[in-house]
Amino acid sequence: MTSFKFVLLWSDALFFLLIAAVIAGGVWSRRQPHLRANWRKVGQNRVAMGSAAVLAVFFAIAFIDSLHYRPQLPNVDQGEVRYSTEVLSALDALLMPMRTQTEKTYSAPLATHLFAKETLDDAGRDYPPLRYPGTHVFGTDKVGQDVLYLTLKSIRTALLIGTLTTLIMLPAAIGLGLLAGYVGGWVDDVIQYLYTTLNSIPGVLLIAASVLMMQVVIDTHPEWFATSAERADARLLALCAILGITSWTGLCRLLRGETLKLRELEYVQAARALGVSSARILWRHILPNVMHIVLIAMVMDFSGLVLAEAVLSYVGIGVDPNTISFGTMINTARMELAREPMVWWSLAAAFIFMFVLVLAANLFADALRDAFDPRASR
Amino acid sequence: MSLLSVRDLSVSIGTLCPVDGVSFEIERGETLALLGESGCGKSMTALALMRLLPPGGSIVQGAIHFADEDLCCLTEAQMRHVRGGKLGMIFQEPATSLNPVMTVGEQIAEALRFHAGNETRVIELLAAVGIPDPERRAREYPFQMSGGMKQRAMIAMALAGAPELLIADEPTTALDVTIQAQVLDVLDGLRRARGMAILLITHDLGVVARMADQIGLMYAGQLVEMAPRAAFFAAPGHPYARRLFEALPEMAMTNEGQRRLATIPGSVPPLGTVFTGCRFADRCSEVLPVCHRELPPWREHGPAHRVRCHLEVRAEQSVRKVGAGETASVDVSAPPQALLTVRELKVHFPIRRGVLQRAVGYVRAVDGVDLALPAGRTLALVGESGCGKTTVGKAILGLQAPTAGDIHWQAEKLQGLAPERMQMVFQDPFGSLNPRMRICEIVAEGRPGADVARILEQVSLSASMADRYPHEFSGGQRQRIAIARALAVEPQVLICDEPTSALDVSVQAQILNLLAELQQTLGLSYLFITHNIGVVNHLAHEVAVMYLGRIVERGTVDEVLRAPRHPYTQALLAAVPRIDGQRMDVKVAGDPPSPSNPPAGCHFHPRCPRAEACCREAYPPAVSVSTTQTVNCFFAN
Repeated sequence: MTSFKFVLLWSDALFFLLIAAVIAGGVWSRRQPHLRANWRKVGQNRVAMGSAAVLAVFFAIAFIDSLHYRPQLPNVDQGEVRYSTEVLSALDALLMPMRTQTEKTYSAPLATHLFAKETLDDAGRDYPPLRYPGTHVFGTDKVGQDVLYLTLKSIRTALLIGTLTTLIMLPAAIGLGLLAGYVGGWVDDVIQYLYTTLNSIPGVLLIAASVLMMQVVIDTHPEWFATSAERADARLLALCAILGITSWTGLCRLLRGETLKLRELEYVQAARALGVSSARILWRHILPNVMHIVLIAMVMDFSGLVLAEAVLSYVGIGVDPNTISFGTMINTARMELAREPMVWWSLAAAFIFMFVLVLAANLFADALRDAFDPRASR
Repeated sequence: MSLLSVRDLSVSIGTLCPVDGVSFEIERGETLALLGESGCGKSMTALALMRLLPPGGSIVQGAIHFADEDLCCLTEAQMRHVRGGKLGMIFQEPATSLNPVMTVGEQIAEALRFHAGNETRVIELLAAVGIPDPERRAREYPFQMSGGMKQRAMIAMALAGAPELLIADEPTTALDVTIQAQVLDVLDGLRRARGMAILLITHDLGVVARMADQIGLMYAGQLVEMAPRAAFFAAPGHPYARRLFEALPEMAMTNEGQRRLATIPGSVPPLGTVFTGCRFADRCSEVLPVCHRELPPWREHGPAHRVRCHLEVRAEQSVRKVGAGETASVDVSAPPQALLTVRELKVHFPIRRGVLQRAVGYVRAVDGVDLALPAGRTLALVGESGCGKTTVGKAILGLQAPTAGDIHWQAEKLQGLAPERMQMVFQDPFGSLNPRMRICEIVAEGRPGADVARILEQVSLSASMADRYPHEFSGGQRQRIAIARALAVEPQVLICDEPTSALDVSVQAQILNLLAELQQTLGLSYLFITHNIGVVNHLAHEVAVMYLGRIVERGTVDEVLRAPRHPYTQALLAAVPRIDGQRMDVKVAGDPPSPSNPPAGCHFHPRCPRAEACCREAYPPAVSVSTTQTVNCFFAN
């Protein structure tokens, strides 16, 4: 039996933390009778439960893909136990056949022969047979890797970029937006100045500059990272942070406007008259009444960020080239689509998975918003 | 043949049926008032006449004949010529019915072009609705005009097609009483001059008494009483009509000493209720077993007076005196020591302009107000919108920092909030409760751990409501919840900012009774901010009348309401439409001036019929007319 060394990447830790928080939130809200009634409403919604199931599958795949380890190398000199520098995940172990059964180059979905004719030793030019015919559901890519495997591996990257970025962005957007709207005065001026300045710099330029700076830092400190996976992971996290820092302004401006409106409402005035503190008013009166905006913005941003990752990878400032992501897949698909005959399956696979993920997230968020809005009850 | 004849009209929106079998007729030159509380289907009837029902709405049965045409059979293209042509309409909210980026003249010209083929009569129409200096006003944009002006411009636009019937949907509800009186005069004058019929939709019995020839009372989508004005006000036939009269605070004014208003239990049934029998049966105090089973037939109650009720009512029985109310001990002795004293209160808002946001002027919302509120008494602060009365309330409470002046609680000077002493009840019961908090959370907000059940019972709500959300409650219940929230911290003073103006008459009576009871049991003091003179008369001990940031007259209720000395108070009282149809002659012209640029001298002199040279030069000092009444007028005596 081969032993292995467990590896906890930073992004894994954050991802586990996120899942733990979601579970804890679920358990806590089950204890609250009025919240439980709302969850029951979600449970009775067929579309919501369908999309929740889809989301659960996606998160499960990402979770399994986040359990990283370094396999033990075969013991050559009876000495110390040595581990591979290649970091694998539990998903890689599960999909071992898919990962290792590579072809020479492109093959169409479920094909038995390669996509392009080659000069064969015995029979002139023909389509060479595959090593593993009929096993590649989504075909193979240029270097013969199974596209379905690539797509499944991309899910973790997409979810990380979607959720971690949102998590970095949300506190800034909500905190500053509510503060600017509620407190007003010079606080409002400073916050407005900040986001107007950030907004006035072209987004891609700002991100490119930050990513390049971060890349220089990573390249000048190779001693920080034991494996290439750790370096790729640091780059992914840094990308999340940079995307988060540059994308909070839109939501912040929306929330500031909404808070300006809510601040003048009579229930906020009444709370002030009751001597309720500002922090408590923000927490109990303003925040719950802007939550629908936050939820909609979160889901929209989630889809937007997954797409932004693709765009950035295209410019060459996205995730590490070794990291498998929808962005890198779409990026390579650009060349494949220009071929004659066209290689369409990597783009199709990435498109189908992204579409299902984003659609499920949207439908589920819709159902959540309806269930938790007391006015929408029938 | 009558101008408009509606027979058996029913409207449905999806599965709801807001108008059910309504029939009425309007003769040329006559005013028919459709009267009813909110949600009774009045506006929907008017929209059905115009064929302007909201999406999903349709006329399911009935016939509408207007000037020998069947409106239900016209095509949409033909209907466009009827709308705004022979059939004009004006709406409640003048601020949103005019296009803000077109001049008023252009908008009227547009209507003229379509319906009359020429645009030359703009100035003539503006003059006809009593807009002074029409040449200049035609070139102005809506934002440059006051609410009353805008409503007149709307009327002028409706007149462009020379309508034979004008549908006026709550035309004065958004306006102040003095402006309301002016607009009603314009409407009535136009009706006489042009022989135009008016279908007036309103919830205000006073407006009906002032304007209507015929009255149709609606309840839950049906007409329940049709009568000529005199007969309706002399002897209302339907129990609902009688209860409405008894619920009016103005009625209590004629019954001296009655401090308790008759109320109608419950509220108007929501749309979508399935009825068998009489729709009012659940709230009726004279309900018979048959009422729940059978829809009552129309019964002749007098000449041209029909009532839809099973109960045979004789005319002399019908005006029942307000019953079973306890007589409150309005002590006329010297008022007790003041609990709350306000001295020289000023709240000025800076007007900032330019890059550096320098203050170029001040809106003097409150400009030197003195008040004294004794324990257990009610002081009413009366005035029209924009006079600064709400700002006074907020400044006293500490929600608004005063620019100058002191607020004293007995001998102690107050600074900032004093939540355990003073609380506020707001105007809009829908805006004053957080939709995402449960009732128990709302009530316990000021004092976590408060006994929510007991407090809810105090305001006559059931403790079982504590776990529900505000949207499940009607306007009246929400206002009770708002009062409960204020009571939870056990304050001694409640500042009530128009707490009943968003409510229907029958619900208003319930809230006023509740406030009176609470005052008796808890010894609360009220600062009651309102524009409704009837409510003032019913609830208040003392009255202060405010005009443009200053108090112009103060005194006891009897002094100020029965023997007003200030010309503004007199005009204000005269402008209130009275349900006995009597009218006083004191008229006030024009609009209130802007508080950013008040007139020199007495603020009221540009509108005052008695103004003389001295009024233009100096602000009149307070003159004591009696020990309790003071007036800021040179001609008080």
